[in-house]
Amino acid sequence: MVQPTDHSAELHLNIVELVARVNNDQELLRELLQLFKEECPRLLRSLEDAVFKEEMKSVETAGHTLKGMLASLSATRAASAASRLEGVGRTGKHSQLQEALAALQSEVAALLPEVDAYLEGEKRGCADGFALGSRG
Amino acid sequence: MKILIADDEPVQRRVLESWLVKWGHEVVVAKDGAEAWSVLQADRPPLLAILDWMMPGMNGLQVCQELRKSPGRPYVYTLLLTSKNRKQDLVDGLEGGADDFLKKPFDSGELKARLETGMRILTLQADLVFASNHDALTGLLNRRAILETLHREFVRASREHSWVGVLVADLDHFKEINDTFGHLRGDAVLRRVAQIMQSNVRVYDSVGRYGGEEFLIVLPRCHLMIATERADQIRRAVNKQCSVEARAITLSLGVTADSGHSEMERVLHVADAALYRAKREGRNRVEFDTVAESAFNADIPQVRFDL
Repeated sequence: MVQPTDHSAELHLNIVELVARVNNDQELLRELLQLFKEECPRLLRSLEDAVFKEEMKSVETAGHTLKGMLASLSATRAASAASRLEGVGRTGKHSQLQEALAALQSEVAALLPEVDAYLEGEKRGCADGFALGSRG
Repeated sequence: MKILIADDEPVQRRVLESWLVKWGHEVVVAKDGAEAWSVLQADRPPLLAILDWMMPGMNGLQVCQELRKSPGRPYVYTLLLTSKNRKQDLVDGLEGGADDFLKKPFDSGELKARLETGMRILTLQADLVFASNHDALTGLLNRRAILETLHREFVRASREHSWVGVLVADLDHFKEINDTFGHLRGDAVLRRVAQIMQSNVRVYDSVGRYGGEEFLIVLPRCHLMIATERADQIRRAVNKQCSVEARAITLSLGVTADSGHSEMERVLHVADAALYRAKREGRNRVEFDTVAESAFNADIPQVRFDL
């Protein structure tokens, strides 16, 4: 079967999928992204803390929660990174902790500007042109 | 319908909530398993719960397991949200008492379909509970349910130091009505009498079909005189409002009341003896007796109830 070209993997935030998930409710979408901006740093901090202390169970749970949140926002790449960290916590592979955390941090760092850009674009009322238009 | 969402992750929780509200449901939100559990323990709990499997403290599966350990509570249909996809996880979930799964991140169409399945099962469940408690012909409580009600009211009366009025009613010459007009007309009479009884009691009173043409009425917080007046009101209403081809339908009633301290069988026995007396003394009348006085009453008929 021939699959249509999927550009979503290139994006950190798959807005097309996310808009569909909220049934094109722009107000809700804004609320979710704001919620993410507030919650993500807190979760990331508790994850960093757990990694620093090598508390594998906490790594697993915080990784799981962050994964869920990222997946809900269609931030697929960051969600996979969180999932990997969750797995490291579950299987107790101490040696992989730092690297998996660094990967997640870099994904989140790349994601946040996209979230901000979307919120900014929304504010200026040209959200339709952003991310959606260029993908045609 | 009222639906519980339990999820520690705020974004997904908000998405779920917004879909459910959009579909017209009333949503109760819990931020973890312990909060979900306390919502489900309250009065009039949501009967459908969407539970995230992994939550800190009490997780979604543990909430399911606790629910299934609570007999006598209304059935709660549980939909477990999970990113687990190993076969063993699903088996563990189902064995733990979950009714269905939804994989994260969920698709709204799938969520809607799974909720509809849940609501269908809850409707069937409610129909079954109703059928098991009600008499199919008259729609009144059936024998088992009215006896359970009586028991519950006895317990309450003894706790609250109040009284329960107990009425046993029997249609007069019902066999003749059946023989003369046929069973279909007889059934219609039973249904009509049931309606008249229901409309002549208070909302917190209970009316049950006790036997073929016999009814048991439970009047909470009602002493003997009030119960007897109520019985006569019912008798007069049936007399006036129910007939078959110009033949008036009449009713005899036996009444007693108790503080909930006597044996239930004994109280029923006393009401039955009073009914027996009403029949003997010409029918279409009300007789009453107290439980204490009747202790010396010799003409009590054989016990006809098995609990």
